[in-house]
Amino acid sequence: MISRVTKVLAESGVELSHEELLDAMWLAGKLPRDSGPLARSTSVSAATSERHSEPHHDGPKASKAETAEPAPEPAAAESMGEPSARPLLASAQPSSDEDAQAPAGLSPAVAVRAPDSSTLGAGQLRLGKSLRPLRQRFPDRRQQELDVTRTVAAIADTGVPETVTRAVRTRWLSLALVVDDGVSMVLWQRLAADVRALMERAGAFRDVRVYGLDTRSGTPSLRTSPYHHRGRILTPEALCDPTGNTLVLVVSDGVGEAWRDGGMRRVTDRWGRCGPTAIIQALPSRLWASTGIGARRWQVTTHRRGGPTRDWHVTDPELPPDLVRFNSVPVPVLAPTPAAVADWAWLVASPGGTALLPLWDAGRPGSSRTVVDARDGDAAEAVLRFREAASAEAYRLAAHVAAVSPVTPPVMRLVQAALGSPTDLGHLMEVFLGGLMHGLDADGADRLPHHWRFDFTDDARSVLLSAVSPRELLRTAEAVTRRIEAAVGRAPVFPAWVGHPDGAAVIDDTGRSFAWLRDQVLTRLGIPSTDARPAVPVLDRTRAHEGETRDSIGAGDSVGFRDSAAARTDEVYDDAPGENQPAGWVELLPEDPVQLGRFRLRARSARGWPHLTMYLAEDEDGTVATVRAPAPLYSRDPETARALVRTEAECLTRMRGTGAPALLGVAAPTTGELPWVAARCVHRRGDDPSSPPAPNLRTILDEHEGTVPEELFLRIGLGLTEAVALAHARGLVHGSLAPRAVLVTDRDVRLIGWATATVDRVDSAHRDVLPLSDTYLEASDSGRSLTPQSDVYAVGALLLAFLSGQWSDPRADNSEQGPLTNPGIAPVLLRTLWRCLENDPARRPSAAFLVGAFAHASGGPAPGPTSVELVAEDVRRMRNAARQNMSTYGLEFARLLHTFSNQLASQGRREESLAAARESVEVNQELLSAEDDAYSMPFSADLAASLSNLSVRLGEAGRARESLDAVSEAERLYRELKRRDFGDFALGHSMTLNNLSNRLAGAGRHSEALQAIEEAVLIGRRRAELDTSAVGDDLARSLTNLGSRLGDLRRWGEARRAVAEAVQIYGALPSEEARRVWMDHAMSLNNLAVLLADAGDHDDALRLVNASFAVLDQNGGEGSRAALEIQERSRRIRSWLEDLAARARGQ
Amino acid sequence: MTTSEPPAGTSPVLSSSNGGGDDWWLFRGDGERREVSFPTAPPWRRFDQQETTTGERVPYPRPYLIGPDEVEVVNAALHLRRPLLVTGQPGTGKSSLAHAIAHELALGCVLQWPVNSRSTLQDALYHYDAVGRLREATLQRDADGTEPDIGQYIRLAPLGNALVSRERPRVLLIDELDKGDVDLPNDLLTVFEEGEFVISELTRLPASHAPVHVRTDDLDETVPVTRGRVRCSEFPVVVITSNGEREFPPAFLRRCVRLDLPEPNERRLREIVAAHLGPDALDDTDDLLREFLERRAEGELATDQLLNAVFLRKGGVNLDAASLLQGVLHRLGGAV
Repeated sequence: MISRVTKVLAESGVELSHEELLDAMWLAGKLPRDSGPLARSTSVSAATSERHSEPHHDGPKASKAETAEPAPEPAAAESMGEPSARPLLASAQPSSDEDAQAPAGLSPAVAVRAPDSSTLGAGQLRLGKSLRPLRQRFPDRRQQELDVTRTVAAIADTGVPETVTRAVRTRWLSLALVVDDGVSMVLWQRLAADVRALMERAGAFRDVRVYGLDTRSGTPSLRTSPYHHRGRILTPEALCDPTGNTLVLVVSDGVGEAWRDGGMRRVTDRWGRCGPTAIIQALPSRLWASTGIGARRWQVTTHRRGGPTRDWHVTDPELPPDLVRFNSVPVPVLAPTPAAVADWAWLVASPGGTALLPLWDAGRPGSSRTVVDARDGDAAEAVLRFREAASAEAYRLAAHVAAVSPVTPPVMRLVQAALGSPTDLGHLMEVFLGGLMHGLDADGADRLPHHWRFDFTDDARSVLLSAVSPRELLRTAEAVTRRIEAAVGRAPVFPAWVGHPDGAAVIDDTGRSFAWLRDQVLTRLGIPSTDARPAVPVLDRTRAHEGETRDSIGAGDSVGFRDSAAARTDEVYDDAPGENQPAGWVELLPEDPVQLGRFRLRARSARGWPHLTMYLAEDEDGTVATVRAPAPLYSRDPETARALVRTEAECLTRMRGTGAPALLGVAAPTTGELPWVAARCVHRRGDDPSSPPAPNLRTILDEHEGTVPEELFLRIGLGLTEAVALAHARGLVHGSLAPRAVLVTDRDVRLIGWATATVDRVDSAHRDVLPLSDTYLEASDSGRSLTPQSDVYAVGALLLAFLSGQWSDPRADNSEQGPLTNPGIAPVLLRTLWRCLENDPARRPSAAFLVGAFAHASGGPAPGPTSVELVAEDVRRMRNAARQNMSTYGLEFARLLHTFSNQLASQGRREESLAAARESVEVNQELLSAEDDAYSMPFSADLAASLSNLSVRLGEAGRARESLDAVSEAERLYRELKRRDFGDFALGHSMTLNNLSNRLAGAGRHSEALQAIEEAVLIGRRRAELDTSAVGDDLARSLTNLGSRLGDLRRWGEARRAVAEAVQIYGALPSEEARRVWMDHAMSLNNLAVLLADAGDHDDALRLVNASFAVLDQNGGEGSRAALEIQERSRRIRSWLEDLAARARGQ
Repeated sequence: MTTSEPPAGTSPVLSSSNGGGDDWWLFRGDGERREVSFPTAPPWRRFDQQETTTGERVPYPRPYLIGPDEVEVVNAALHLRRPLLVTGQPGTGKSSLAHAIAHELALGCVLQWPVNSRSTLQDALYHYDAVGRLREATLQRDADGTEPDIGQYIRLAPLGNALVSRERPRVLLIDELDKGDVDLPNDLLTVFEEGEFVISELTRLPASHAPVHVRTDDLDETVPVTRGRVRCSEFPVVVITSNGEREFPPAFLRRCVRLDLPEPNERRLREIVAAHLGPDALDDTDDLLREFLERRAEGELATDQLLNAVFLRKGGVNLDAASLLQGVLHRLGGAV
């Protein structure tokens, strides 16, 4: 019970463990009625909604809200009232005179502590663990403590109270954290602070001292307090600890002059001679080479614990040691990631070991400086120079930063993070050092570095802003807002100013806010909420003074950007599919990532898949993708999460975009980050990316209100079976087919949800993670290894449920496998689908067989070559099975051969087709011979059908006599069968008689041929009498043939009447039927034309041939060989008629 | 408030030029010796204890103000018998919450366990004084041949004490868990889930041995422990405080009820001042409050700093808001 509830909750996006659910339910029972947070927060009568949502919201813990603040979900909040959002700016001017009216363009604001983004991110915990090797204790001979055990032992032995002492075991190393505090490092102040906190918490160091490092002047120097630029100046030698027990850890971005000119080299050499030394590179590793701290991987071998890095033995990982030498004192360069730090910590702490470590590459000549000095001259020119020198991403980032400047470093980082990939912190550094920004605080020394404000000149700003659309800026602000909302209470803070009528400070109201804070968030930040209406007119985000028209937002919109929801959705985002969330998609939740790899997430799937959250995303080119990431699962079980992603990616790769979405990207790193897999978004209209995402089976059924048109059902059936057959041919078993896993476009069907698929007969170890309803999985199948037959079961269950319009187990109300009464669908097809639900997997048809069945039922073009190959594989498999157990598999095998033979024939592969047909006959004969009754069902019927088929194939191969023998035998069987059961076998008999008649005519036995076809016509007429709803196409076919036979005997008048009747029947067929038999229709038209022309009625003949062409055109005259033949024949008749007409005129 | 008279004959070296009343100048820096009566301490710096009617000595109750939503979460934790993980900015009253709960529910003194990077779970469970026991055992055996009870040498530490089986649970404050070792939360989790621990020194005793009475935080109280096993009957009220920046293992978080204390807004600040210093304390402190609110974000200030400033103002220090705050509201945060 509990499992089912948690599963339902997980599927609706609320991941709860059992304990959490139980807690929530316990609380719900304890809460006094009408006093739950939800009840209080909604004014509407909460009786019903409360009952529904109590488990979610009433338990503050269960709701996962880290606060007591009942924060309604964004969507709900917007519909409930008029939530106001207040602009958040990075800087403000304190108002000099409180009584004076605020100058135009300025509004009051109050300071808040806005949450910052963490620099170490989710790796914090593991980073802490990676430092464990350093947590060693060593006896300190200077301090003694009582050794309790030995004292007790001594007293017990001697009886004399005496004490035994031992050296205190103290922590091993002291840490000197040296923070490069040059101006570019204000961006990394938070990193330095995080590293410090991490080191202090690690419990590994005797003490942690922090120094500032000045690398901007020629000789590096230390200060006692970083970023303050005052305090005592120390020489770097102050950190040289002769005992070797001080670990020097430098945090830097390698921009300072001293990193390039050798100044820092000398310093680190000195430190590296005394004790362990390392550098933490703040920049992403791709940029290391362009800074003063480049690195190369070397193989490092140590011989003792700790000790100066100079003692390290460094060799090239590949080349022999005498070829390459490492000439300087090695200094490892670390990225602030758990993996890098763990390697290093292990090497430092182990008594001897070897590892590959990036070492500071001093031999590298200093590459060109990234600083572009653009202070002088025209701002536009400076921007131009920046644009040339900087990367495209940096330029875009600069525009986004300029839009919200003046900024403080945390805001710059937030904007960069919101923009996401492909921008990274390196691009931010390009912007920061690009010469366009200048500090605003002359007295900066007094402020904390994360309070320092930077700005662009007005000219530079307006040039930069022209590079991005206002919509993009809005989107970034929204992304920043989401990040801030998600981080409240869980992150370090930085000061910012939020527009508020009570404020004493003033902010520029020109719309430079980097985020918008809602009242709920403000309350948590200690700002009282005022009336709902924002008092500040800053929400009008027009920037008239910058000469930009922002027509899409509306200059007169003073109500508030957030409030004008209509304007936002209809005008601003009308072309942004992610904002106008399509059906089934909702806005991202605060805990959702904003970016995964190069994909920016736009929406999350409303119908949650358990554990795998699906997002709608977009890459830098605007390609819409669906990204699936096991976010909640990852935090609990990263290994499973990665395995799921890998399996899904493997399957998508194998499917190569057919029958499944095309793989766009995957990330399953062994450490560190959330794994994800991105696939091309499947759109409703084929390749039209502007159409909404394709619906799944469930949605389709809803759209059609439970009844699906036959044509659509056949198309979906064909697409689904083709996709499954393809997967089986490529060694995959989907294993989790369900309505939501089947996406339907207007062209094909794509399967999704491959995360637990069986690859190469190896079942996924995590099937229990994504449980499947047993509606689509035969109970006995779930226990053992999954086979393609399990998928076939699911396909059958799915399609039958789909057809019945109810997502329930189709067996539930049809305990007998009676075919569903569905007028549109051929009973044969229904029977085939029911066979998919056989308990014995071996008795189920193969997926390839299903493809054939659907292809046949939909009368469409013959299956393509790939499908034939799939069936061929199936045939081989079934042949082996049948050899072992003919009674079980024989019938299935014979039918498969039959299908196979037809498919081969449609490909023009006559010999193979013939062989298959012959084998089918043989198998059927063998089966029948085992029966007592020579007409035992269903073997005799199958034998008759296969004989008839064999005769057709023989005829095609030009082996007329054998063909005649076969069809005669078939006719004999059918005659008896028809006698026993007219309803079931009349049609078969009629078709065989047609065939027999053709063969006899071919052998010149015209009268026998006529006799046969006349019997066929009689059968047709009797069928039409018995069943008025019968379609009559077989009668028409027989009549056409009768016409031919009569023509052979030169009984023209009778022939004309027969064919004319056939044409009439064809013409009256309902359009779907007509489409199925269009070739026969065209043929009868042609025949009648010839007959009429012979009778001298040229005009009518020409009209009929043209009608034949019309039929050809309507049904796509290309395709199979038969169609081509008919087309050719029509053409010949027409030219012959035109010739006749011309000659008639000539006379 | 205070009535200390300046002693006669003192030279008014620094009279009222700075605005302070005479009782402000306790230390004058003039080298003269005086008998100064100390002024009343701020309520939050009083260390004498109140005696209740039952003769129990409890600390003076400190006023504590909390919003209804936060109360909701605290109740959820109490109902669920789960630890309450409190986060929030410095000075938002994380630790005081434990005292407030203990006071309001009459759960006695708060058991405090301040965590640092050296803290281990063992430290928080119990201490065993082996040497003391041996020494006294030797002495007593020499005297009369009896052996002192082992229970005297075992003293339960805060966590251990909280897990003693009692009719009413105690309040355990685990302060600044974020300062602790990475593994500490997981170690704690085990004890919280089991609700029991074992004093290994006592497990050696034979099954027939009578319960050992071990010492608790109260000098007069001992509790019986059978075969070394301490198991709570009511799960203690556990309040864990942490800086919100620190991540904890998901398993740990799942088993805690989380409470994030919001920053107090202006109205709440006024209430806090009034509660601590009396309603008239608000009379002429508007400028202080305003200045505090403006500088709070940038200066990373804590609420108790405002209380200090108001207390000083009430004590007669007549500095303007800016200089007073300069003196008292020094920045809490550092650069790195």
